[in-house]
Amino acid sequence: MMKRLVFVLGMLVGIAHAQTFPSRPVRILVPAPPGSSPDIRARQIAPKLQEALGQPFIVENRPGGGGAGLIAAREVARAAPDGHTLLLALINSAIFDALSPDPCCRLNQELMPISRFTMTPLVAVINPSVPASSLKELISLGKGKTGLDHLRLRRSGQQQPARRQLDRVRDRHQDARGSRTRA
Amino acid sequence: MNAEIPDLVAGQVMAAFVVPQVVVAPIKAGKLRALAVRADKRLPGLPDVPTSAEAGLPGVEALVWNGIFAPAGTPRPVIDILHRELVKAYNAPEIKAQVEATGSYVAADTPENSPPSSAPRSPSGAGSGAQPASSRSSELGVDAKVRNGRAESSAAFKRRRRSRRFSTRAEAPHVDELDGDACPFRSRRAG
Repeated sequence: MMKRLVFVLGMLVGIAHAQTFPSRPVRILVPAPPGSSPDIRARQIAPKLQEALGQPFIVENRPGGGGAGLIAAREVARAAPDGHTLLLALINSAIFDALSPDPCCRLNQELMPISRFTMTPLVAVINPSVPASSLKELISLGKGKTGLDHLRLRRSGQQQPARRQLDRVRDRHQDARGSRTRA
Repeated sequence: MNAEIPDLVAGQVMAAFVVPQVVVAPIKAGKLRALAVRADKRLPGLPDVPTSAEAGLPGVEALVWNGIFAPAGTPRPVIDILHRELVKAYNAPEIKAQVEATGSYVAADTPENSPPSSAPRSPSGAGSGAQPASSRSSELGVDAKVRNGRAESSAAFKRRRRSRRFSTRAEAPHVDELDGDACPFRSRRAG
């Protein structure tokens, strides 16, 4: 009898907890400047969440902290774990995690996933002057089988997924002015 | 943003792997040539561009994603509410249409499937060995006093993270392993 009472009480506490969330405005931190692609994504869903949960969902931009957006990640990892401070994490964070994890805010450790949002495939594009009509031909070019000196490939930040892909067609990279965040 | 596109169009840079929204226009104008979409299906905006599998390189896929995270220790009921409402929000027809218009697609999560790390770390930080997410860190790492080659120096950091494990750069997986598995979510691909 006692056990059952405790169980029922526990259930009620759980339900009460669930019902009080959100009890105040929820902040979504975005590790990118206003107008950037991640920012637009966050602002697309914020009004929907606000409508569904009855509290304002406020998008705040915290660009910076390297490719992994550590400024935003750190702030969320240090926030009270009550669901009122959320992070829109990008793939850059996961790559950064694997290369040089910062113990402040690793995904799946200090930051727990709620859901993915969007997925975007990368497109391999070339300047039309490059003598390749397929991905395989581009790779042969990169390997120097066709007498081309080298491929000038675009490189940006170390944590950029695009850079990881370019490493596959390993050859000389050319530094290019690059954006630090997107997805 | 995407400063490589002018360089690519001008021929300063010969090739790049980029997100679709910035290259659809120059591709359609003939200023760039698309070789492949690095996904398992073609993009509606670029119906003539083969997937990497169709281009003869199956399995060569590269997706960038974003997702919503909460601090570890967030109570399960709260995570579940957020998960359910998020999935509903991005599956709303108008959001989905906006996302797909830029060459992306929304994740394939359903309101029922919960996030994979179902045992959030307790706020005290204790008991890290019990949760699934830390298995990766145990595989990768050792109890190290060195972070990225630097000696641990911050006393505050030590106090805060005394019981936690973290990996060193040297133990990190090779980059090749990242392409498919960098995503910490269980179902990695939209259907």
